[in-house]
Amino acid sequence: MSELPREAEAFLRDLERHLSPLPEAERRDIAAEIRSHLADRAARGAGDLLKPFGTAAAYAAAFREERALTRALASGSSLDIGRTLLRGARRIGWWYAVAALGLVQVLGAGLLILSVLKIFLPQRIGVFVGPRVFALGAYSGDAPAVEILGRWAIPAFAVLGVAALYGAHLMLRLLAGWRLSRIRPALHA
Amino acid sequence: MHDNVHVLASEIEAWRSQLRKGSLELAVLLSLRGEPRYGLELVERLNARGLGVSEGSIYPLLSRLRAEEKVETEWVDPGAGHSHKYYRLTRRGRTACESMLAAWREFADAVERVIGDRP
Repeated sequence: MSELPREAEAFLRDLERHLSPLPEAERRDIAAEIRSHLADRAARGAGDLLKPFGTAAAYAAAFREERALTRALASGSSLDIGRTLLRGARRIGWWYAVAALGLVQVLGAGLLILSVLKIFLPQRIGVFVGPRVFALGAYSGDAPAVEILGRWAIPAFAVLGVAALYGAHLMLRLLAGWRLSRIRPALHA
Repeated sequence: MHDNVHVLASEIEAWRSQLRKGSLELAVLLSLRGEPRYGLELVERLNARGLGVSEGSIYPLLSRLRAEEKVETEWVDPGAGHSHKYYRLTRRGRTACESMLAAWREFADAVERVIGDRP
């Protein structure tokens, strides 16, 4: 194995440490490949060997986060995508965005459940309007109110529920795709 | 006026960067069509053709291409010096490359047609 400058050896140690969420064999393989690259560049008398790689932590993050997002997108699960986005989030805005989309998905699931419940509890489920009442969903009937959708509540809740679930899922995929485009290797002129 | 020119130049540079980002995967797959190559060899080959690839940028991409089974790897010890990790296109990678190339040509033709339109 070729000798490398001390700072290059330190970079490789740090890189392997920051890659720790990846399997050991993969970590070692990546570090060995970067070592081979640095050795080639050193043998050709290159000046600052490490400049093109940035910090070990940021470079390792590019491997880790790209891999995680690619896997999450391939899995097609909103939960996987949301969890991966949160794991890589470095700004509070990401938390708000993912939490908001998660809430929309919960509401979507709730509307689907209501559309099924409406079949069995037609008097209790729907959109209720009264002098002091506006309620969507289940209503106990404490104050006088009229259910305005009737049987139409079943398809209306179902369509809204599916739209909320699917729309939030698409938004999560868009966010993950955008995030991926930001961390995928950039070419520098 | 000077500020406007500066803003425009930075916008164009950002746009060029996006173009490069979008084409890096295709460029790497195309470079692997002929024979297996290792990372630094790929960087030098692409830079010799004017693409301007950063040395550090190639390995996360190659790692993903391997995870997607578009390339396979093999460590080769040349006998003298040190080993290199060579990348070779898989059948899946070759198919992806051909599809991306077709899409690229279609897109480039469309842009050329727009450029050729009379104002």
